[in-house]
Amino acid sequence: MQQQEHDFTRTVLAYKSTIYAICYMFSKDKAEIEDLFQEIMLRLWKGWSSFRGEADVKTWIYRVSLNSCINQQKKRRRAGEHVPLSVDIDPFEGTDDRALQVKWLYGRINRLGLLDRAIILLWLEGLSYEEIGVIVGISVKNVSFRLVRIREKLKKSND
Amino acid sequence: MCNKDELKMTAELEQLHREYAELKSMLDKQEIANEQSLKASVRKKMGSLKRLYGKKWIHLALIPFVAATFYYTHVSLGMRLSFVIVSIAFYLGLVIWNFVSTPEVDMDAMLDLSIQDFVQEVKKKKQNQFKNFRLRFGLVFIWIAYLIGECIHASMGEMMLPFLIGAASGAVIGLCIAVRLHNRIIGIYEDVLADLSNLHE
Repeated sequence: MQQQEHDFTRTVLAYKSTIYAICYMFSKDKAEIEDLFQEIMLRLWKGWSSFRGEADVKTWIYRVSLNSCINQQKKRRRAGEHVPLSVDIDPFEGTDDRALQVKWLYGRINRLGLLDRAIILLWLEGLSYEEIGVIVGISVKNVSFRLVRIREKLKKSND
Repeated sequence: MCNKDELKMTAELEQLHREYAELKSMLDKQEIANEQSLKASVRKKMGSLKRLYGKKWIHLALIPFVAATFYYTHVSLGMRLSFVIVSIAFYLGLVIWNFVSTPEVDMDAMLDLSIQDFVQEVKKKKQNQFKNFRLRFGLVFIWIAYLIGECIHASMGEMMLPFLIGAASGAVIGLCIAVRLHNRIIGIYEDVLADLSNLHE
């Protein structure tokens, strides 16, 4: 059990900043980011014992993280909450250029739909179209098509 | 094949990449800063552990028997010799035991470990602490019992009953000191583990 815990921690730790980045893109405040992160960790831990390595561990972690974030967003929308387009959070408590850039990133990506947000995040992580398709459950052609549309949306939001 | 080639890079996408890289970098830096400050706090606590286990306090135990040896000049030579010899034997035993079994808190080596391995090390040391308590402090309170017993024995004309009373009192005092010290050490380990569990893992 201890060895299992050790292996799990070592594996997941490598993707910690990615999971945090994904949580950040789907959450509206620091407390929510922390809660979402904890929930993802719990789901990963629960699934760890049955994970036999058939899929790439990276793919599995991304899938669990994105599914958790998207489910949470859907629950929130069903409850009637609206995700603000403007960012009124500053998890890094900075006003310098770097913190502002991160805020702009949030602003850009937050305007996208849930699936588009997931796709663009995976693309930013450097995954291939095939990998993105496997994680979000769509074909490679669909990934390519959606990315082009996302690009157009980003261009429009800048104009 | 790099997927970035498949999607025509535009200024918007390049900016997005830059911003995302910035976010990841900030998250990594924040994580490192959190980990460093946590390790600094843990280092301070474990440092106090080292002082508690420190070899210096054991030398303080010499004071009563040295004082008693000089004070009880009216008792027989045999009595004084046995007092000195037994006390030195206990003292040497404890000093040697300290050197042999002190759970050295090698902070520099431990802080090089990952947080997960560090937690495992702390848990191991906490478990070893129970074993150390039985052996090390058992010797300490037997010694204190002996010192007090011998002092009373010498004071009251070398009678047996005062010796037994003194020894029993000494044993109780020694045990209280040992338990208090043990609890303080365990408290520090638990504090450290609680701090480490606050770090997302």
